[in-house]
Amino acid sequence: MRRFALVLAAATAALALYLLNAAPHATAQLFSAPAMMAPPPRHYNDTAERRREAQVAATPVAAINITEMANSTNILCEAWPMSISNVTAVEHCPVQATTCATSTPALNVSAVLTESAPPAQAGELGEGVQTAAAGGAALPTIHLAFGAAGAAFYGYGLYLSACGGPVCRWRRFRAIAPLSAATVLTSVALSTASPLFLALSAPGVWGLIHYYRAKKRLALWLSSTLT
Amino acid sequence: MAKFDIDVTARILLALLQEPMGRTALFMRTKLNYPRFMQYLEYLKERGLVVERDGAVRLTERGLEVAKALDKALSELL
Repeated sequence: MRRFALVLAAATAALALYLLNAAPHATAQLFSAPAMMAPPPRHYNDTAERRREAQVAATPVAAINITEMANSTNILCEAWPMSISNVTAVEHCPVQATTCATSTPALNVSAVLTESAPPAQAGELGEGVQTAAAGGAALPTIHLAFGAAGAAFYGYGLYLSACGGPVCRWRRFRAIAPLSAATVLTSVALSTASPLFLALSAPGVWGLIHYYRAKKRLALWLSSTLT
Repeated sequence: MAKFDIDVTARILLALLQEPMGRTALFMRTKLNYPRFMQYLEYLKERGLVVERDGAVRLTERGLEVAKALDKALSELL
């Protein structure tokens, strides 16, 4: 019964680890779904306002949006270092504000700066922020399929092994195959998180080899006995 | 000649090792269709492993030896 217990423990551990790894992804995707909905359409008066909106969306946490105008004397201490000429006004916006209170006509807007990233990198940073808001990288479909197949094999193995009596020994012997397969499949599914999890498949492969070798020997013995 | 699966043969022998039982009860245990179950029963009778007596299917001396050996082998394999 030791071999069966070992295979069952390995399959249970692999499935538990897979569920622990898959659950945060599923939860994050579930809760980030409203955040990923598209905002209502807006009417832009000019390209500068459109750029400012895009910059606000791409700005990381605690960034300050600064709009500079022509002929300004204000100096921005924390702005990204780039050549600024003819600055006339400074506008500070809250991080998630969609509009900023200003007395300057938006037609004169010439540039939008953030204190944390240059405009050239703001787009890339925005993509990263959006990915983080979506709850990290989702599990690949193939690994989800491997995990689901492993769970199904595990359930079948448990169904086979839940029994009693002399026939139960045969059923538990047969349960070694699906439980080992479940271990291998879930460890392959776990390899997304870390390739080290592939080491979990070792008891599964051993269980499969043990099962087929033993079944072959039993079949030979039984056929020789019955003939 | 029909092929006989080790899985079904082992299940029949181990079920009869537990206790002798009627043909219908054994048929229900094997989860085969009835003609296929009868093929297995005839196969085991021809090899002198089981016998039908007093309305029950039971193991012969040889059948008891084989079933016990199979049970012991499974204990070692598990």
